[in-house]
Amino acid sequence: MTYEEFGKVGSKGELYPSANLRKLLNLQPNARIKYRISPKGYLIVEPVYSIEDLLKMPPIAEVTVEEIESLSEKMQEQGSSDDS
Amino acid sequence: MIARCFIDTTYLMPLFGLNPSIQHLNDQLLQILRLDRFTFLYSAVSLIEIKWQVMHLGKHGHAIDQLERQFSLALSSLKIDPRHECVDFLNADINDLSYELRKLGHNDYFDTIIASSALWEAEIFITEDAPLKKVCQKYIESNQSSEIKKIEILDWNAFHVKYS
Repeated sequence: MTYEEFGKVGSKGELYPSANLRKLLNLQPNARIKYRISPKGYLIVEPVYSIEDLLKMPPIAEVTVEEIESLSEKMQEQGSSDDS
Repeated sequence: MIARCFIDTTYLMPLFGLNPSIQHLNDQLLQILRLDRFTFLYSAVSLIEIKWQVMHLGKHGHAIDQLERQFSLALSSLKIDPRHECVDFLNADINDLSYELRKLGHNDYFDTIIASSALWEAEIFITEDAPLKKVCQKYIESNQSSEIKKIEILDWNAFHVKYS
């Protein structure tokens, strides 16, 4: 999906996304957002989820504690190996 | 009073979309957060461990775009959450203590960085890693007069039972 609209910077530097834009991005009142400037100079506005929101999301993958430990050890071994 | 509680990598994983197979972990984390009794500290090396896991899963058929997107979301959330604090490992005290723990027989550098950060910074350390817990206790017992303060070392189940 692409979308564009035009606006105007307020007298105190405010930027006002329209109601339509807020709806498209699901920006609720008091929601936290992050501003980023891309390497091309674009202003990027992203919602920032709370820790609680993240914990309520379904997991993407299952990993056991043993798998985490074993992969970390393997990566460290590779990093400290004489052959590397 | 807010207690400083250091969490091992495992308990950060749900934020990054990874389920570490600890039953009811997400619900229990939500329950503990509601209590507002803890500041949760974590090591920057835990983020590297999680990144390795994400890259590994991506190579083995999991949706890498989704995992990377979630990784970025979790980084932003951790950064703005006042209840979570990242402990840098570029610190001489943490490095020295990590070396002491390795000399006591625990050879995993990342584990000893996490443990030494906890020993320096927290009142409670939560880990599922039994050998790491043992080496920390060994260090504490043999260094009673050191600058390291008293710390409680628990696994998640014990922590949840005691503090929820």
